[in-house]
Amino acid sequence: MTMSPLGIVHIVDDDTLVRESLADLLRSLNYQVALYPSAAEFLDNRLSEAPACLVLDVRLPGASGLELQDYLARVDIKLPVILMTGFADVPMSVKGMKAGAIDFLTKPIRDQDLIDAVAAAIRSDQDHRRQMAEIGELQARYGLLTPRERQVVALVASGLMNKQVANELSISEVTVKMHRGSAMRKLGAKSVARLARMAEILHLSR
Amino acid sequence: MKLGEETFELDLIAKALRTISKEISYEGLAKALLDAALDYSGAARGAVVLSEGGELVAKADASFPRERARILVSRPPLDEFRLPGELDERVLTRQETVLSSEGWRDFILADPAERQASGDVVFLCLPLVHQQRTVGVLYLEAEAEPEIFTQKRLAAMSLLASQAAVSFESAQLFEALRETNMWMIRGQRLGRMGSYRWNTRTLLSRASRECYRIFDIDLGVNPVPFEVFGSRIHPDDLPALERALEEAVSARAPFNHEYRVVHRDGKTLNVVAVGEFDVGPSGDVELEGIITDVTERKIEEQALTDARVELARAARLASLGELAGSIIHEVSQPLTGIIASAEACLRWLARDPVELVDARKSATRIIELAHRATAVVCGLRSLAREGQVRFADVRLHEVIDEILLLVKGELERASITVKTDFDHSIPPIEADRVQLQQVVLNLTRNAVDAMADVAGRPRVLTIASRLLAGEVHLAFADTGVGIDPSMSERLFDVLYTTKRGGLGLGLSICRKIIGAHGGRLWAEQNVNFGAKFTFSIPTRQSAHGSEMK
Repeated sequence: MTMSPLGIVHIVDDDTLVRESLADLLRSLNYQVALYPSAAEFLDNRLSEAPACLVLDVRLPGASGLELQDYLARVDIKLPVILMTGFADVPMSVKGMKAGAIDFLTKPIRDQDLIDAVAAAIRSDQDHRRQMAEIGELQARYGLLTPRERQVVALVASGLMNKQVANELSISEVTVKMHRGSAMRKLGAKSVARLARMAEILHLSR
Repeated sequence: MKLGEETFELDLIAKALRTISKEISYEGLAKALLDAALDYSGAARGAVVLSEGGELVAKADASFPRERARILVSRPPLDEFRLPGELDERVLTRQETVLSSEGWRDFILADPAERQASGDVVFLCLPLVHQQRTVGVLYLEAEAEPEIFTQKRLAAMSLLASQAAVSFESAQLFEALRETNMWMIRGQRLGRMGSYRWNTRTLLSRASRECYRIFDIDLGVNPVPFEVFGSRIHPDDLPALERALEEAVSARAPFNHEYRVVHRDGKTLNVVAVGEFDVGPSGDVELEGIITDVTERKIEEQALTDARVELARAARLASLGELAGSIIHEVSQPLTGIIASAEACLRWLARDPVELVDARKSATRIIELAHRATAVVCGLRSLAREGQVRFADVRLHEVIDEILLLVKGELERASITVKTDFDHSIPPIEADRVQLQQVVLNLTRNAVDAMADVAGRPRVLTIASRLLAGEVHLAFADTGVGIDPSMSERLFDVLYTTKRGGLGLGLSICRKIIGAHGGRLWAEQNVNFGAKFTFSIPTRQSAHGSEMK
């Protein structure tokens, strides 16, 4: 029986046996795994579009796990990170968590902790990807709006009544209603509240 | 003038001179001079002004005494005394004695209202000159009586004035001496050191005030008998002090001794006495020197030592923590793998159909990881091993080369040059190779640490081997900080360390190992700098299987 993979787990650990053991466990849970002995080798790899997360050992030859985490944040790769360490000290954990790690696991790692952390990380990545997709779609729809419709949407979203919008743009209230209706149709907004929310996502403001 | 009158006048002058010469303070001197001058001349009013420390008029300073005069006594008392410009010039600069001339109207001391009523007033203004310097002014004023300032009186007055000037100078010297003495007393108090002079024949001492404080002796006891001094010495320290004094006296050698002083209230001080011998004014041999109260310094030294011990302990704990950290890392790695693989294995087995290939891979990995964990534990056990020595034929130079290879990086980082001086006639020796490695490693590391702070000379570790009467000797000589000869045995105590990060185990372990080989390990000072550690072991063991103790 084969199931479609739940997501891709990238594992960076210089200890081959540990790396393979973790991979083994995650594969048995139906995750797809990709293994790397160092940060550099991970960076050589192209990331796919599937939901994914990174399980990262802090102590690595060359660039450390925390450095890799830093780098990913700088180049805006929003891959959820789970940090692992053999000997956690508090300042290091704080640093890792502050830099946005989903979890910080201390070796020896309990299997359930890893399973939970990976599940949460994949979920978080899925949410993130969904959001990004929604924004992308909304932006595409917004592109269909005429300049006048965009003006009307911005003003309506900022809380003005039709009449006020008409005044502002020196057009009749009927025309405002017409533009608004057309814009809502194009954007797929079923209510003014929904329209306001979309404007917020698109960062529209007067 | 009758003879009796003349005698009387001379007597007056003599008295006045005596009074003046007795004074040792500026103000007393000024008063005495004024009183004598008024008494003798019968003038109604007068003033004496002295310059500041005599320095003021070293050059003819036109402003004197207006701004900088310090001592002013006058009858009647005045807050301020100013000489009119012309007088100022003549008296202070040209050092002339000025007797008032006709038509002079600017009187200084007389009440203006009174003066108009009484008509003419005369005055006398005398410079006080000492060694060409004007050190002050004597000014007298009287109602007009032409005979009041006769030539004879003028001469007598000059005599008084010059005596005053001399006394003034003495007062100044006295003041300087007093000041110097105060400085010395204060300096000795601040420095907690007193000076003394001890007569080796009479056994009496004279000492500065600070010595009295240090020894808690009343200032009235002068000179100080040896018994009084001895009664303040800590009873445990007295015999040694007496011995040291005797030795110093007989050798006339510089004296330097440290002992404790006990005050009458039981307070104990640590003092250091130093001194040198010379022949005193009486012809006796005297010890002259300084005694310093080092109690506070001792306390600080103790605190510093305590802090060092504490620091060393903390460092030892920290390195234990570090050791624990790396052990934890070594063990937790395989454990993580074992847990993950075991869980995976179960999951492969729980699949339908069972994923046997994957399950077997997981199980194999578990075994591998478990072996690794075992290896870590075994390594630790051999570290803690106190068991039997395993003898085999060992080539000593091979062992050294291996260790040098191992610490190559350390040596390079520490800029240490290693020189080897091997005796190639040394045959294979019967020894425990691993333990011998341990000894060579420890002694090498010791040398590295000893040279860590060396500056200004090359850091060289010389390893020399010799074959001497059936024993091999291996010496490690460094150019480091060296060893305190009194500490050369303590070095081998368990937990004794002079190193900041040291555990104090290294040398004690080395000595134990060498002992188990029937050999010896010792430390000595190197020829020029640094320390030399040498061990000797017999090439053949007489009886096998000796236990390490």
